[in-house]
Order: sequence, then structure tokens, then C-alpha cells
Amino acid sequence: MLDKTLIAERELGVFAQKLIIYKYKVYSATTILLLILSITTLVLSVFEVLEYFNLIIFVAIFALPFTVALIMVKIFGKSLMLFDNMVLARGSKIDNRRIHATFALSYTIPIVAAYLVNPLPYWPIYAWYIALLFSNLMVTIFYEQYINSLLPQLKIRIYFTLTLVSLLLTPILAYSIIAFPRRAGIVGIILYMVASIISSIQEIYRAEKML
Amino acid sequence: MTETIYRLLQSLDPVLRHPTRFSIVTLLMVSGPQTEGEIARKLEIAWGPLSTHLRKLEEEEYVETKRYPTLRGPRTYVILTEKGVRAYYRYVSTLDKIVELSRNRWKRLESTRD
Repeated sequence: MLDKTLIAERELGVFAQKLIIYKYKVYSATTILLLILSITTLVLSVFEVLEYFNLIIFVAIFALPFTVALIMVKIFGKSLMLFDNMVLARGSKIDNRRIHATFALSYTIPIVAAYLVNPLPYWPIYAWYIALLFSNLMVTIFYEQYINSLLPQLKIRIYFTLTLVSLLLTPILAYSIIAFPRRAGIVGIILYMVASIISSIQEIYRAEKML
Repeated sequence: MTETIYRLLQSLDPVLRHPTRFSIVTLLMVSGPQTEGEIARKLEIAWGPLSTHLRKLEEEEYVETKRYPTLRGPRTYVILTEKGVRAYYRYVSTLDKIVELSRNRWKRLESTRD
């Protein structure tokens, strides 16, 4: 039989790789969850409690999620670097410019497009939900598929789940648009929060199962 | 099959073949850049052997040391290089093949004995 040290080293090596993937999955899930929770909580409080809107509040809404994102990148900075190393070892390289462009375009084009039209009553209140559905679909196709192709054992599916769950919840939004259109925005926020919680929990669960 | 296993064993990177050096590189792989003090504490290695192994890894260009300013003053970090990362994955993948082949061989021996 083989030397026990060799077997132990092999186990340790495989475990090390799984741990890096685990960290990346947890990073993705917690970042998305925290970002969406902070945005939705702020949007809810601003539009529902204060019931008015101005530029300062609008900027303030995005200041917290932005800070959250910065903190998460700081906390998981080393893990992201380790992930880059893992991809590098497979002979590939993460194209960060492509990733940044994907996110920038995915969260701009559908939102701008949605607010250029006004097909339904109270459309601006809930248009963002439909826009985000397309945004997440674009991220699934152009980011998630790309990152999974670089590292097949990663199998990250958080944006796919987020898209799918928010799509499945769309009939509830549609009902609220017909039944009480003024409240459709809040219904959308709650539905989107639910979708993000489900997708994040599912990704953390998948990460935990992988170890 | 034995020959293949033997050939694969021969091809294992001699630098990483040492358990302490393998542990150091694994720690750097999983936790990222570390100070020498952190490596010594986390792996429970005495300073003397640690310096020897780090020197060996540095000679092979598997790790490099860089000085960074921190809140507690400048610290020297040990960082895994691209060459080190590639060597580590190659080493683990060779180990994987060896373990797989020897398991198959063992199974075959067991079945012929039955």
C-alpha cells in the first residue's frame, strides 16, 4: 500500500481546493444577500416611511450597499486572490475587465430600457423588478457561465437561482399590479428580498454540502 | 500499473515532497499571504526549521517575501508565486493519480485473492 503521508497530503490538497471554492461561494452568497437586504431595507424605509424623494436620499440609499460591498471585498480579499490563483493553476486567467463590463452593462441596459418606456399604469413603481430580472439573466449568462467554465468544480448558481426564483414570483407581482397598483413597488421589493434570501441560502447550502 | 505508479512517484516535485514544505504551501494556498510568525504559530513549526524550508521554497521561486506597511508597523509577508501555485496543483493532481491507481491495483489484488 501507499505511504500514509502521501495519502494524507493528497487529502489535504483536495480539501484545500474545496476550501477555496467554499470561500468563494460563501463570499458570493453573503455579498448578494447583504447588498440586496441593505438596498431593499433602505428603499422601503425611504419610500414607505418618509414618502418623499430627493437626490441626497437617493445617493444615501446607495452609500450603504456600496460600503457593504467594499467591506465584503476587504474581508474576502485574500479568498478572491486565492481563487484567482486556482484558475491560474488550470492555465486560465480571470478577465476582470470582462467581469466589470458584464456587471456594469447588465445593471444599466435593462434598467435604462425599462424606464424609457411606460406601457402600464404605475409602471415606474415596479419596472425595476422586471429590469432586474433581465439584469440577473444577463449576469447568469455572461458572468456565471464564464466563471464556471474557468473552474468547472465551482458550479456557482446564485444568479441563476435568483433569476429563476424572481421569475417564479412574477405572478404575485402581476396580481398586485392588477389588484393594487400603487402598492406593486413594495410587493416587488418584498418578492425580490425573498428571491435573494432563497438564492443565497441555497448557495451557502451547496457550499456546505460540497465540503 | 506498478510501473506507472513508480514513474508518477518519481515525478513528484522533490521540493514539495517534504511534509513541512507541503504544509507551508498548503497554508499559503488556503489562507493567502502570511507572516513568518503566523506560519510558525499556525503550523507549530520552530523558527529554525521554518527559515530553512522557506529559504528552500524561495530558492525554487515557489514563494517570495514582500514588506507591507500595516497598522502595527511594516510586516514581511510570505507570498506564493505563480510558479508555486502551478507546482502545488501539479503535485496534488499527481498524488491524486497515484492514490487512484494504487487503489485500483489493491482492488484487483483483493479480487484475485478471493
